[in-house]
Amino acid sequence: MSESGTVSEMTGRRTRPAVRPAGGGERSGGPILDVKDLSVSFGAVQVVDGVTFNVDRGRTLGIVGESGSGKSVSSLAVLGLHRNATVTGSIVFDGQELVGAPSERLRKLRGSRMAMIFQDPLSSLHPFYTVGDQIAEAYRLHRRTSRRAARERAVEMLAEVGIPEPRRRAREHPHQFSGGMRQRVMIAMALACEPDLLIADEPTTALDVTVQAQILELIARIQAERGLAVIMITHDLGVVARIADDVLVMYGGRTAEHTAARTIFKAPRHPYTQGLLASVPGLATGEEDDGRLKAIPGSPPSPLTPPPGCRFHPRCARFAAAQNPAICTEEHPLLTGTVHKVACHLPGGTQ
Amino acid sequence: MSLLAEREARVTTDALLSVKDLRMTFPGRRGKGIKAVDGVSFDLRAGETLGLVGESGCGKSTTGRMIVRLLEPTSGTVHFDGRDITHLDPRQMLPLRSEIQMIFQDPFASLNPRQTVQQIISGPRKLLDRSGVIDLLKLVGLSPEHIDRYPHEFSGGQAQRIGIARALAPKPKLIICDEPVSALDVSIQAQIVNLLEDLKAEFNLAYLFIAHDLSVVRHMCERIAVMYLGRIVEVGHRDAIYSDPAHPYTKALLSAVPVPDPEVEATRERIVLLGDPPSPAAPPPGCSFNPRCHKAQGRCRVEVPVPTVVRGRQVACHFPEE
Repeated sequence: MSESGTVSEMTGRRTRPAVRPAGGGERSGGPILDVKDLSVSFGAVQVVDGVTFNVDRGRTLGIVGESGSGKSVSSLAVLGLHRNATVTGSIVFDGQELVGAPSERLRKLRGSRMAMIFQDPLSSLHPFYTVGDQIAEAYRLHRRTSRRAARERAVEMLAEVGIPEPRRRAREHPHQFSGGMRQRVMIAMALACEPDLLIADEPTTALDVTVQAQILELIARIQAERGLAVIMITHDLGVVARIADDVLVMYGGRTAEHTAARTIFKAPRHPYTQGLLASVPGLATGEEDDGRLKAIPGSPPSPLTPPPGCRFHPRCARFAAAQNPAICTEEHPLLTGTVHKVACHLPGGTQ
Repeated sequence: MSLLAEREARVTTDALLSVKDLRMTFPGRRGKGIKAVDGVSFDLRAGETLGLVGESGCGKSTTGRMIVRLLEPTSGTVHFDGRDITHLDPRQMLPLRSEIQMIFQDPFASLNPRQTVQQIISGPRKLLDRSGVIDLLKLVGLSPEHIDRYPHEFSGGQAQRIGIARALAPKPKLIICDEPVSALDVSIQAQIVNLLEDLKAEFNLAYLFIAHDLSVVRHMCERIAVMYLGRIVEVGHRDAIYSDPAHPYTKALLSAVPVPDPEVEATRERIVLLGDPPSPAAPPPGCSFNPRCHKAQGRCRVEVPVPTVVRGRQVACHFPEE
């Protein structure tokens, strides 16, 4: 919050990533968010099917998946943002069950104790109002306070997220900010009420890499300072490697693999995770220099027409190598394991 | 100047595409021009892939569009196959249209939703008959029964394959690929990259590969040009650029890319640049990178650096990295 902290954030300096305290926050106890067997369907279309995860204070869960994998739908369900959807299972936030909770209670939690930032900050900000007014409005929704105090809070938050001249910038409109600065404004708005959980849905996908690096540093810094629990939804394995403690890999609305980030990258066990990691070209000299990339054939399934059995089997190298066993096409593989959870009928070796 | 003259002499001999001092100034407010591309020069040999990388607004797509003449350059020249094509009129460009093709980022936006695959691929000039289109579909990994379908019936990866087939139909020598994989799912990107590489080997295609994903560019390209605010700041062989960057911007850009390995991420040095890229409407004086550069000194704020050869690549910096 100090001005000097803000300044150093903005200077081009060489840094090593901040070491995050394991477990984080001063408050102890169970996970702040505990999701069990979450399913979401829209009419007859089931988009999320039995997903289980939890996040502790001070920790980051990365949810990785491609379009249609259900990663965004799961997180919107946590915030109770779906209309006309059937949500089953259990979502416990700080001891309170949210599935089936009255919408009034969810509204009180949303924006105050759970906050979310999205991929495109321009469509999440109102073009007509100044950013200071928008942050102040979000703050006053949850805190009884004067307009003036709320506006002060907005300036304070803009300073905290590293926006230079926060008092002047608070009086400007969203179009006067660059993409990276807008995402900082969204983060300021999300954090104004000091939430315990921040859900970030592809927050850096629309940004340039150098700006992405700034935003990821900002999220990591704020998380370390406040012991915030973060869910980072992304398709970028590099972003996950940079900031996540745990990783949940989703495919076709189900969990494919769920374990610690280091394990996912070092010893992936689900053929989809393995394929995904192998298909990404490297940045360093010497890796697969002139060879072909190891692509996964086919495309991700549509939730409208999911394949029977294991959703990944039509694209799975292990399924093909095992001469198309019937179990993969008939039965939905259960998630097995305690620390390293994998849903695969053919648990082969690690790669 | 002698450097420029030397390059000019080489250009006329063996380059398929040679771009010299290309500039594009868009009209801005109060008569102030926006210099989107500000003096870009490079050559591309037949069968070669040159990567053009940089962040949004650096002018990489504008450069590509000037080469295919979707935009009229403000100044500079474009030579293709030894011929100056900078100011050809549309009728004169027509035969060249089949030699220079383009693949776009958003496959759906670049395919006519009211045309079938056959109509799209055979093109307005009906270059191919039905069996020719089927051959092309097979070549890009689609099946013959797709021929009478419309773009909305395809996934993003399949639609991009149609876009590639359309670009291949007139048998081009050069394809400008403008972010061809960045709108696709991660598992599909590798398929399209492999397809582009196979086609290049089969037809001896040259690619100008415009992208912001540095790992894909490293995989695809022999030579890479890094752009910043309308200028090329560093150009050279892939290995020189990636393992030993000489321009501070290249170095910062590479260090900002997240690597899918938590152990590397936890230990590697990262240069966090300050602020955003400046607007091309109000570029800083001197070296355009100086406000974000950790090495910037007095000279950088007044004098535009001239490209010089440092360790086998060209770099435009007063104080290149050791």
